[in-house]
Amino acid sequence: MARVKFLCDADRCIECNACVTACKNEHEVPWGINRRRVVTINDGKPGERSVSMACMHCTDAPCAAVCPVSCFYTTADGVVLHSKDLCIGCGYCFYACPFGAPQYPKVGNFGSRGKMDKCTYCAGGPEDDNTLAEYTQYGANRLVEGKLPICAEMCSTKSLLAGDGAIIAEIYKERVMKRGYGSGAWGWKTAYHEGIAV
Amino acid sequence: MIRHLARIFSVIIAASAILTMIAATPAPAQQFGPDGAPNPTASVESEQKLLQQSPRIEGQIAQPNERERVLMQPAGRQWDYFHEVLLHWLGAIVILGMIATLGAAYLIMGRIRISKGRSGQKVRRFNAFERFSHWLTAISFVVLGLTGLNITFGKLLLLPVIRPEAFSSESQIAKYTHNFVSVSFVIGLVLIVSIWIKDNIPQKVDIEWIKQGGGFIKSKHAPSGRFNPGEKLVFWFALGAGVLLLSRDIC
Repeated sequence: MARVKFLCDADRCIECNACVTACKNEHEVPWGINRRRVVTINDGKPGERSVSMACMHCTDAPCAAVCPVSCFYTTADGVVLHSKDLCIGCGYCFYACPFGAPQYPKVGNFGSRGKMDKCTYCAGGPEDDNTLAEYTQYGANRLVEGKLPICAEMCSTKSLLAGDGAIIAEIYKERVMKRGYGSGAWGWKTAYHEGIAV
Repeated sequence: MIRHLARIFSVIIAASAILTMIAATPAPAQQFGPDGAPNPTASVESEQKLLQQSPRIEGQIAQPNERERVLMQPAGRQWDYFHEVLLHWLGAIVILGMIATLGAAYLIMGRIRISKGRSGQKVRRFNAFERFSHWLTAISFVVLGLTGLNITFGKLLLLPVIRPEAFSSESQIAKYTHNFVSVSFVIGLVLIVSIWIKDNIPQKVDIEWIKQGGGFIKSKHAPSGRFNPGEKLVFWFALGAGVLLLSRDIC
């Protein structure tokens, strides 16, 4: 089975935020939450790089490890999903995630965060595929239709790649070889415990 | 002789300063690639270098949400390790060890009886306010402890026994209970500290109590003030642990 990953080519990303908008629209993401966001390092200075960041769907996901009610599960494709019905909104997954991917719709005192929401790799949730119940809670399920995540599909420069880990690593390697430079596959060491040797 | 040495010394200082300045200026050759064109990766921070930046790597973001500026928080790994590994071991050892110690103490020493039996007369040791403060703190602590244990050990011990939906509902209630009862715990703690701190300052008579082993070794009853050193230890430990918990869990 394919092990799917995300790769954001920081040298191509132009910070257009198309990925952010596409995801937010496709899944009717609640107000105040952006499942995917574009973070710019060294803004305005030499060496400025933009990286599109969402849940990386890590191998050995730390969010799944610390959840006190074990509401996370990993699918056969390597997508890390969770159940909003079991989630108690304690916030532990946010503290443990190295990328800060889990987000909460409410900001309340004394722990009233609401149910955690995060990027689902456009793979929905534990409800039955392509039902209204699944859509209202987790958003569209594109993976079951054989499509790739919409953020990568909408990327204007094709800097955000999604799909089988081996294939996108190969694409990135070719790019770096051809143009002669590359700042690296951002986040891969942390998420998948492997870099891309160029 | 001294002047000669001083001169050599100043030359060495000047030379090393100049050398440091030369080493510090960035070599312009690194900014260009092998073909003479600018090398775009030269000024980019590598992921490794950014990972040393703690507690978190932040950048600029188009959305007005401060929390989403975080690109990576390497401290998440320590958090994970502490909560999943350290806390489980520490908690298990401390709790089970304490139960074992108390059990052993009871088996070895048995019940500690009043030497002449109960007289039937009562003496008031604590007034109503003291009793209220103590029980406020004590009940809050037990509730906090149980709900806290549910968070740490619940998925290991309770989840295999009851269904996930039941466990989640129960954990939700436990989470809110824990968060709100912490208020009464802090109020209780402040009250008992302010009421009893003056009686818990170490005194001369405490040395005598310790020498007699608290009545276990020499006599059957050792002298003390209002509180004996054992009780004083409990007080200071409760105060210290309470403050530690407060400062840590307030996040």
